[in-house]
Amino acid sequence: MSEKSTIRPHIGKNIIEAKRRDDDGGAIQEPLLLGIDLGTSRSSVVSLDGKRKTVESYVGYPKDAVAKKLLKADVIYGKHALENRLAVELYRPLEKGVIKGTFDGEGATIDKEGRNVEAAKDLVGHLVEMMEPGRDELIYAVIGVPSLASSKNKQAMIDAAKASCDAVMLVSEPFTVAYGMERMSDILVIDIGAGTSDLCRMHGTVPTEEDEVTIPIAGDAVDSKLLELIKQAYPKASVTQNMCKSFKEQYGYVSDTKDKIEVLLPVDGKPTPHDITGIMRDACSILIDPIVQGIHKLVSTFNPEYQERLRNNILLSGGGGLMRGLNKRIEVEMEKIVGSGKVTIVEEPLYAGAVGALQLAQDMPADYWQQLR
Amino acid sequence: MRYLFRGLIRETGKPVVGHVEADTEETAFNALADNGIVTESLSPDPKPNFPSTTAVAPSNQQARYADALDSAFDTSAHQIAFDDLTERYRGKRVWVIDRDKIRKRVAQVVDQAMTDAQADLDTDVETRERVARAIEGLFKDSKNITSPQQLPAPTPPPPPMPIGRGAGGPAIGGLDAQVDRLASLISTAESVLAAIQAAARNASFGGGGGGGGGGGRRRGRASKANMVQNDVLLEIFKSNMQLQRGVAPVPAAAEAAPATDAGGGEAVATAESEATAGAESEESKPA
Repeated sequence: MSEKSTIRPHIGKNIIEAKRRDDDGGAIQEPLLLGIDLGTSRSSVVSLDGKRKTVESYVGYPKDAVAKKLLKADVIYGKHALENRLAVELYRPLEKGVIKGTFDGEGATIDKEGRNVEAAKDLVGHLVEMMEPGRDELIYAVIGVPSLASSKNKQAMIDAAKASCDAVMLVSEPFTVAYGMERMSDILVIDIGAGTSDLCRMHGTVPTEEDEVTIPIAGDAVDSKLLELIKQAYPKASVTQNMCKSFKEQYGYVSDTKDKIEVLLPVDGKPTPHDITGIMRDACSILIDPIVQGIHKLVSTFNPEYQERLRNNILLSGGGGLMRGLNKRIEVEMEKIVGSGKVTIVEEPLYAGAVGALQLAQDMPADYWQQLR
Repeated sequence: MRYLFRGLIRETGKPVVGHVEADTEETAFNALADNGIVTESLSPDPKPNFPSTTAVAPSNQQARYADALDSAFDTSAHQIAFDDLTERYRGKRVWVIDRDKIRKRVAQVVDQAMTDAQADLDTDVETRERVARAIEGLFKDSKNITSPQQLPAPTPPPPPMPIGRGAGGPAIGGLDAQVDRLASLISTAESVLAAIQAAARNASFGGGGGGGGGGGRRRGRASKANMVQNDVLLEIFKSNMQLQRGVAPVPAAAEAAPATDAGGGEAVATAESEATAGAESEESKPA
């Protein structure tokens, strides 16, 4: 501090306690709490003042000066990045729910230059910016991560988030769904994303490894299967995985009855209608068996006194929860292996994880947040 | 030069108001930053000079009192949205606090009190008491500090734009505007609903479960549910602290005494109480 400048408190009071403003248009009394669900395909964020946004997990960096001039930005996100993917270096920074390059499993992507980590940082920053934080406002965020994310995955996630947030906590995604619904006991959550399908049983405490099952078959696998089946059935049709993804999101179903699904696919450049009704059901059905097997594992190893309660309290969340008839189909298949049960779709499957994460952020004592800063 | 500042304490985020003395604004900003204060606004607020012994002309005395009053006004004022004010009082006649009037009246009253005190040869204590009584009397009557004002009457709303009318009206533009308004209304309603849900949840923990079978209020187990929740939050916090220290988080089961069977209410209570005891003893260790 300069010798010529002094800070004087108001008469009779310490400067820190000089005045507490209770209502001032510019005063910021509390930190901004955020609940974030970072997904392989889609990320959601909600804040305490009711704002909520979801965005496709794409990050695009203009390839050259012309692209930058066209896009009028150094970085673009979500659908905008996907639509302009020819003009940008497109990144989908998450794989199987964690940042690419930090996952050591089979078939993992190697991120030599750390570009995916940078893209993940930018994506989190974009999610935070969408909540319109005030100038110099503290930002505390709870982020959902896949059930079996490793320490390495989590460290990378924290590093990515810390660039935009003052304090970050990571919590298992299915747990956030259960927490948001205030159902932390005798419940089994199935969170079907793009990269993984996570199953987690809740019994009143933070779930352990034994309580969680991660299946690498999820939305992306359905897209790949749909692509394969369409190419088999209609070899002359031109189709990409992105097109299959949009077909799945629009028409995906696994129930027995469905109206005819007809989509336009170019054949030699000419848009031609193709019937994919049966193909769609077959592709979407690849989710059923692994999920039922996962349910079987978690139910059969649960306390036998409470297995029936668990079977009758299965929650379906995530983007896969939007698939028509999935809950009923799981009930039907469950009965053959595990016994009868009840599968319910959460309200707003796209936001359930983020809402639960926000609830956790709100319930977390302020001291804990202070220590994490 | 003295400056009035408003800002936030960087460490805690709490708002703070005060004065800083510096030669220039830039020096003032730097001084505040050095002391851990993030400055939101800075405005000159010259220090009033109260002469201690020399007698001065009444007009100069009034000016000094006015400066002190201005300082008091600035530091005690609260900001509110002007639109809320106009909406509430639109078309009505209101009394508005008049700073100029207050300055003049206070200066007059104090000056008169001191003149009377000198005439009566009052002691210092008696003079101060006389001035305090005079000011108290001044502020008792709000008409001494306010002036009547009337906010403009509401303007009549524009006629609604015709929608879907044939070739006559600006149908498309009107429809777009209506759709935009509807979208905005829906967005606002969603936000309000989310805020209400959050507030309702805070009002009573343990109630109002969401979808799924077997939901419903568990009022009788609210206190036990609170214990469960606190333990869960503590576990989450501890694992995140370990992560941030670069240590692989230890699973909760390894920290607490192992329960004999997984799942179920009574078995969970045993494991939770042991975990809580373990957590408490760990928290009591010096940082």
